[in-house]
Amino acid sequence: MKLNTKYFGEVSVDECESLLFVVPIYGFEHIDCYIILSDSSVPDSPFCWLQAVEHEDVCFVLTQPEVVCAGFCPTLSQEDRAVLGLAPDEEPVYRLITILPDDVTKATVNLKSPIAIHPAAKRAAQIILDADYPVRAPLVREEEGTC
Amino acid sequence: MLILTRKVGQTICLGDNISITVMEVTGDKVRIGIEAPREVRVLREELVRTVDSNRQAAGGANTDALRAAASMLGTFHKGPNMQNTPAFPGKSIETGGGSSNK
Repeated sequence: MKLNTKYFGEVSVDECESLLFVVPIYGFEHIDCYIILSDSSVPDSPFCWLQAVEHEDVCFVLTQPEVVCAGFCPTLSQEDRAVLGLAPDEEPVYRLITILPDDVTKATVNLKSPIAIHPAAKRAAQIILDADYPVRAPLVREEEGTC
Repeated sequence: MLILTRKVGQTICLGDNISITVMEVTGDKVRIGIEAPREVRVLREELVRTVDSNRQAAGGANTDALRAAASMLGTFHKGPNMQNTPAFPGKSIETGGGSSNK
């Protein structure tokens, strides 16, 4: 199908690649279907885009959590695991919603409320973790810290 | 900040219509019951901050800034975790160089 994107014009995508958000992105409860776009010209990029399928103007930047938090592996509640359809031995893939101003040194990622994705089931959810992570963690730090 | 000490089952009243009761304390968790008029929004603070953060994040990203950030971070943490799992969904696109979109 043809997908109208916020940044890249019309992109041809396979409908089966779309992600169903079983818990919405908070503040965007009217949207439950997104597709992940990654930039093939930047191999190994820690970023990708999360483009809303039916809302061209809604597109998030997502960051791999390992960039700011090595070994990021939060504990999900049983309810969260159930809505994602995770088997007991499965863990989701996490991506962090990123605020990216023109000055990239001011960019932040939301570690408190990551996007959890069950790739095989194509289900995703924004999970507010109990653990004490920051909502706005700096993406770029002077020195590598622990989270 | 006003700080009060309450026991389980005890209540604090805010104005005439809102009451907050300590229901249960387990370890470092406190269950709180809130009674308030329907028109009063009651939200966990981290949810409010996440909504604010999400709205700001959706406001717009400069694709050049993203590319700059990718190259800035490119040398970090190139461990196995940095690779997408093969089953990771989505579409890989050629975004081209130098196009800046707001």
